[in-house]
Amino acid sequence: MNPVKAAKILQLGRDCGADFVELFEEETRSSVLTFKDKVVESANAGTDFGVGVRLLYGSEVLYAYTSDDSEESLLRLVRLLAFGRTANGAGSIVAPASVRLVSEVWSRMRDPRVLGQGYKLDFLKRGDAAARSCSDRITQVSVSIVDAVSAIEIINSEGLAVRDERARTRLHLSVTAEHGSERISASEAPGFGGGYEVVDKLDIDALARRASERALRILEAPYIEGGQMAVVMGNGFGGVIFHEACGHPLETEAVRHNASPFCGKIGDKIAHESVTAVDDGTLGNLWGSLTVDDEGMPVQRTVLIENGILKTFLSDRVGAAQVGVPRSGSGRRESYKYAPVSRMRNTFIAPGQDSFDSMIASVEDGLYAAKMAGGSVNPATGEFNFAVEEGYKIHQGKLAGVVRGATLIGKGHEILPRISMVGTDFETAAGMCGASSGSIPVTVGQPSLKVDRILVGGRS
Amino acid sequence: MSQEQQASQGKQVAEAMAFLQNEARSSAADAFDLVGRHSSSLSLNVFQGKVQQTEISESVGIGIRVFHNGAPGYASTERLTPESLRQTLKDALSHCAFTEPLKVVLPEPSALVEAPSQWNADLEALSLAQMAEFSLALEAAAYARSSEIENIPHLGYGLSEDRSWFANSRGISYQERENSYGVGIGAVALRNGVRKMGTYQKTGRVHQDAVVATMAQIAVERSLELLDARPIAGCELPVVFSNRVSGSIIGMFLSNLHAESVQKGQSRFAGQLGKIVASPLFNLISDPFRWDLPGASVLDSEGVPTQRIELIAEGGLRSFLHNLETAGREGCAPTGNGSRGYSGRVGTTFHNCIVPPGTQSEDELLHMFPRCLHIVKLDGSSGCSAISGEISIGVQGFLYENGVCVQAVDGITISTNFFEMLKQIVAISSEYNDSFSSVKIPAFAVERVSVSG
Repeated sequence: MNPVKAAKILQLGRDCGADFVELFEEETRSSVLTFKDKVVESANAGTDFGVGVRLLYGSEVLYAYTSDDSEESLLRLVRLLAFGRTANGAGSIVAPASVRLVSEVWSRMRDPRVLGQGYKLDFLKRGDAAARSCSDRITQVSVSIVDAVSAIEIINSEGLAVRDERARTRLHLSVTAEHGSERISASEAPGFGGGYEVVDKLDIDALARRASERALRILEAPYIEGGQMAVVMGNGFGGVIFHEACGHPLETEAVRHNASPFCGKIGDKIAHESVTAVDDGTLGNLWGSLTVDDEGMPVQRTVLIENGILKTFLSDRVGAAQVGVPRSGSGRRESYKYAPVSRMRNTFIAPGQDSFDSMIASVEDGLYAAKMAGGSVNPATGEFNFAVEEGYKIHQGKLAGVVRGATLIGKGHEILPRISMVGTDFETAAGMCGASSGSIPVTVGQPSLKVDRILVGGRS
Repeated sequence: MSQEQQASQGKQVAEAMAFLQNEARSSAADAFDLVGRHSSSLSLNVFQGKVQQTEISESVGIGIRVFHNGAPGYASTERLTPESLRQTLKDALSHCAFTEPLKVVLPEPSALVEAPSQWNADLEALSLAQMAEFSLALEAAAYARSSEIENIPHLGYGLSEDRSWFANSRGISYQERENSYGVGIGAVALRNGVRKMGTYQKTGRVHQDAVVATMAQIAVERSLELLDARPIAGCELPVVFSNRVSGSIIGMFLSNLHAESVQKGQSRFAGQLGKIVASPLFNLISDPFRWDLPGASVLDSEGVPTQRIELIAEGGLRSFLHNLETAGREGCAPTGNGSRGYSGRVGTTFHNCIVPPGTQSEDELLHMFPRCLHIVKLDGSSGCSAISGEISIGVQGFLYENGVCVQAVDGITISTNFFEMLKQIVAISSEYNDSFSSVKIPAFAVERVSVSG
């Protein structure tokens, strides 16, 4: 955005009494190619474009967005937002200088805009063939690849003026195994920051086999008998439970609404001493990594829980000021259509000391949740629910066969103290996280870990 | 947004649609259709006696589908400049090289059912100040109803206006507009260290239907009713799904009635046309002419006239829902159930999914069994699979014995299979919930469900 135009809009916001004014301009080119059941089901591309204007009056947020980036349109939006408000005194802005580029992702990447859909199709066909080669019970295969290349500019009344060039690419492979009237689906969905330089390194044959073999195993599985039991959570995507049940309540967006069981507990022991949890936006090309957050602040590594002690919260500008913690570079939003709030980036439980075998051996009767499916949480009450995509019964310290139909429910703050063993086999996995500022890419992660008791839903 | 501003932005979309049509006509496309949209909204949230967030939005977008040698290609843009529109057409045409040819004939203009307006001019006058006044009164009323209300983290009011355009290469050109309001509250109650949230929302086209006292009462009652809940032992029980959750539980499996799911082998209803798939009490209809509901429409988003469709009648499977592409694959007529936003490919939708009511009240359903579980809250949906039909999900509600509530229940899960459950429906109530929703399903009772606690 032209800095002169930006300055006029920011100044109008200050003239209307806003303590802080920010512009967020975004242009995103995205494309998707889906190869399903041996044909291209969908080839699509689009351009998203718009500008968001945010005015802060203390902790009160006024936000507007539009696809019309003309000066008149943006000035009108500021007037609409600030209707009836005036400044007590002269509020000046620090005029934005030229916009500073903070990321060079585009210059390093294999650009999806240049590669075209033909290149991607060959890759998807390999995944389809590999999945089908596992068994004739694999009756459906869907492989899609989504890429998005974004140019973001953030200019605010404090003189910040940055341009961030972002790119993300994600593969989604889903298979359905069928036997008689039974149908079971399993999926793999790795995602990365960057273009096709990371996709080229993916072993799509191995991913396809992994999903297919999992679906085939579950197809033969009996239902688990539900009840309270010890659960060993698998590494990688098992971290989704921490993300949902504990991560969201550790965001200032929940804390400032008094909608978190962790309100006022910084410095308290909230988890077993074996638990250290981190949210880190700086980790290379991980799916949830950023150079700057959507408020223009450089991201950082944030230790949330250290040896069971709550250290801080994840914060955006408004949340940090209201809750009284430092900003952590966690202000995020799906697009210009959302005001930023505190959100997770790459969130994980750090590796511990326990071996996977010792965890299994310590359980008399329980569940090994090898692969989690999705889940959700109500931060205000802490109540969560998660489906287990692939589970194994544990009996007398040994894995005793695959089971299906397991669901985990409980309250996050009650589960944290029940984590008694943390493994060494750390892994991460990509996911999408939905909340008040939209759906954003995040990474979850953990080593295998043992929860002493949790309610497992199943059949009685 | 003022009428003048809306007219101005609407004009931009209409002009961009005309530009793109002209470009498409002179391109390699054999046929094409376009969807355009202009959306605007006003909304605010309140917290602890203050307006905490205010939002104003306006956005536009155009999507195009072109056919070249019968193969479809899609693209979209939110930039309405000539360069961006030309790039969008170029992208769409390039995608035709990858997709399979379809036997799709785009519809021509035809006589349509006369539809009442889905625009309430009264809503145009609803201001942020009025929304704030209502919301602050609602917050105060909710706190005043019970000293156990600890927090109200969710309380918001919004107004949305949408104008959409459709045009195709065979001469159809129409536009429609609709507006609606929504106000919702989530109140948290605290007792003995246990927190429960009760939610209630009112949406529709007549904002006077939202009444502070009523909304506060319902939200607070819902937050208090489960505070003393505790698990029950694992067992098999009859279950009554309240009309608060009946739409959610059935709604998760509706894609099984989309022809696209059937064609892709992702529907357990494949090959079941004419067969019994549900209890004889169960009927399911797509009704585009229920003008009181948000799914009403005379044309679908591919320009095909809509129709009322009986999908399940007395438990028998009668039909599937088609868009132009699925009908083309099967060589049958489309049913007018195409669905498409500007940025995506065509999908399938119900135009109001309705299960006709039974004759008994929800309370009478609870008297049907010596012991049953009344489910009023679902804990998420991640344990449900539309493909396998599996339902393994946390629930909250009440245990009833001989029609009397004996215990509030939480910390349990139910496990069943949707397709088995449909056949085990033993009663459907006469009462819908009061939501302005395109899914209207009364409470229903199921003979037996597995419970873990």
